[in-house]
Amino acid sequence: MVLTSPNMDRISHVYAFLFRSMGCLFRPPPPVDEKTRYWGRKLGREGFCQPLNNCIGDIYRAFNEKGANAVVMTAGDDPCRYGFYWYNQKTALEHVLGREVPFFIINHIRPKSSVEQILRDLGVSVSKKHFDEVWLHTMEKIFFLAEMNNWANRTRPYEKKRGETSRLYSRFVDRLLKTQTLEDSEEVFKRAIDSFQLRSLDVPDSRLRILLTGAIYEVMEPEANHNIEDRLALLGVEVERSLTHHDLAPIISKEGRDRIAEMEMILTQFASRYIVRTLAEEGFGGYGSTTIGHAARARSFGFDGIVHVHSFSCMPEIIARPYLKEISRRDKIPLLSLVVEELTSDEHFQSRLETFVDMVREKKRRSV
Amino acid sequence: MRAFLGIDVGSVRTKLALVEEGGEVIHRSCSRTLSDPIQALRRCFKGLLPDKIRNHEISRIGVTGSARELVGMFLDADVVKNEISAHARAVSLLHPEIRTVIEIGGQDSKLILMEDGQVTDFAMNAICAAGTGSFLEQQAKRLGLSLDSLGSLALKSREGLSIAGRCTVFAESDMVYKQQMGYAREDIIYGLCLALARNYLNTMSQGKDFLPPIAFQGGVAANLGMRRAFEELLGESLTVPRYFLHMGALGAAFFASGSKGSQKRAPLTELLSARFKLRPWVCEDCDQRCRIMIYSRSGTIIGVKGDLCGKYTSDLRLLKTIL
Repeated sequence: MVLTSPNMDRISHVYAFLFRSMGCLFRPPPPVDEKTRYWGRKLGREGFCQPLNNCIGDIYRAFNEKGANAVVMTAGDDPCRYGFYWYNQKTALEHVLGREVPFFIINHIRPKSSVEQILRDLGVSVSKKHFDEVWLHTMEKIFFLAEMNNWANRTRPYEKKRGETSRLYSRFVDRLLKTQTLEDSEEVFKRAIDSFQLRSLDVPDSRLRILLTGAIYEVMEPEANHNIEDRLALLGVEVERSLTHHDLAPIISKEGRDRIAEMEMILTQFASRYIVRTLAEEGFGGYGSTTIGHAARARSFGFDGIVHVHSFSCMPEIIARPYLKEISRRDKIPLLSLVVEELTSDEHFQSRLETFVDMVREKKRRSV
Repeated sequence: MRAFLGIDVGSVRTKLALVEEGGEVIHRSCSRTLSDPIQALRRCFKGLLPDKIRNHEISRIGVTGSARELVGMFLDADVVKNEISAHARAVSLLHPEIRTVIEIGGQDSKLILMEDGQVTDFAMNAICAAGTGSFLEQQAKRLGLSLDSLGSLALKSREGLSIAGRCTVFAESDMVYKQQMGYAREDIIYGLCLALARNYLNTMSQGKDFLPPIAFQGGVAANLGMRRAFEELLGESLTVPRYFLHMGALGAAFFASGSKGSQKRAPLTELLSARFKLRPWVCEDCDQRCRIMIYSRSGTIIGVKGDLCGKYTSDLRLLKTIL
């Protein structure tokens, strides 16, 4: 079998490393573009959201253009669509292709044992030592990707030469995805952070920080959110993703695990100010309760505004919207909810962002 | 005397306003965009009579509207600003008492909430253009009426009929049904105005308060039926600014007046007669695969849009091999 995995900010390349290192054939799909959206819309069904359509487009292209014939995906069985997120894709693809499409799901709560099971299903045998080494390296790659993205988002608005941060980020991500040993990955990460830190930046006295929250696909995949991080950076704003690569994989280091556990506790505490504790803990589908938790913590964590992104038919995020408005009202923190759908036109999107940033900046200026 | 030019390039109409240093509006013109913003701009300038600007030197240019980037590039504008900020700026200077702005244009609607001349919240129609000017225009055409007569006819209605306003397709079927049932045309038309106003209030307000005084501006503010519908639903009388159609252009001109104006610009006549060309291209240098738009004026590359890394924006020479 030749495996593939849908795109979500380069995560498919990390899985490519994981499965290739275990001896499997793996071909990531081409990057998300208009062709992906075209196939997603064509093969998707009524009521499918943008992530679902784009994933179908990705898989179809990986099958057609790269020769893949089976799918590995993470979090396809989480509360989104009652755990049938992956199954919707499978049936839509099987209907078009007229054959069975094998799907292997990496459970996001027990990813390691899921991968072990997938390898057994594929008939791949690796030693425990090799598996543990590759697994550790994969998780570290995911951690490094997330951290590099954080650094890029924190420094991009202050770069002296336009585009320098994105070029640096892109270069180091490419290098990281190609490394074969953990030592090499650590070296690339160290160099990347040094490069971000050692540059001279134009940091103003008053910085604007915005929390980007919403459904994970829209928060993480630049092609799905109209490259919102770059757009906000051009407007002079630091962005922090509420969901990152961390949320797709467990963190190996104890320090990292503790940090994630602490954040989960914080999110539950903040979310339960607005929704019943059971829903805050268990969620109500997708990332809706997480979105509420993040929005509710935004003011206390020093953010000046919240940008909420979701697709038109994302039920959990639609449920979260009124709570976000209430949080915005109570905490006096500006909120912008954006429906990011399959539009190719950027003008209206840009108008909203510009106005929002003007508004946030003015509010901050007046409050000083 | 110095004057500042503001241009609002909307999806349906392109508006131009010239403001002199003291803030006096000395000229306005408007032309349908007709899917060619540059041609529309040229038509607008034709109306800029030499005697009007004889004693004025256009020192700075501000551009807003959905084609602001394109026209801004074409004219080497000093300021390119989004339309919400432009409308708010004009309102804060010309009608500082206003706290809520209802703006409905050809294909989008905006709600702007203001306090002490600053935007405190805003909303724009997200997915659908059901409550905007284009739909009213389409219906006027279907009924064989001009937009003006559609408005005045709506004023004659005693009671607006209930028309589905959530979706233009359903609204149209509803109107056709009422028409076939023999209802009076003015009641159907006013029913449509009420439906559009309700649609606007539902989609834009979402818990936001419409605090008076409320201004109604944009092309649709010319429609008397829509004014009546909003006043009936809000229970407030609306202020329609004198320059309701040109508020965006005026806002752009006001922004331009406050800018540094560092651009070295060729004479406007020369710019307006230049050939303008767009060349779309996909950069495949990295995984972003940016959709790049390369703009040239009389064969010279004047700007580029869409390169997220800024590589081409900061060095246009890189594009020479592509054109």
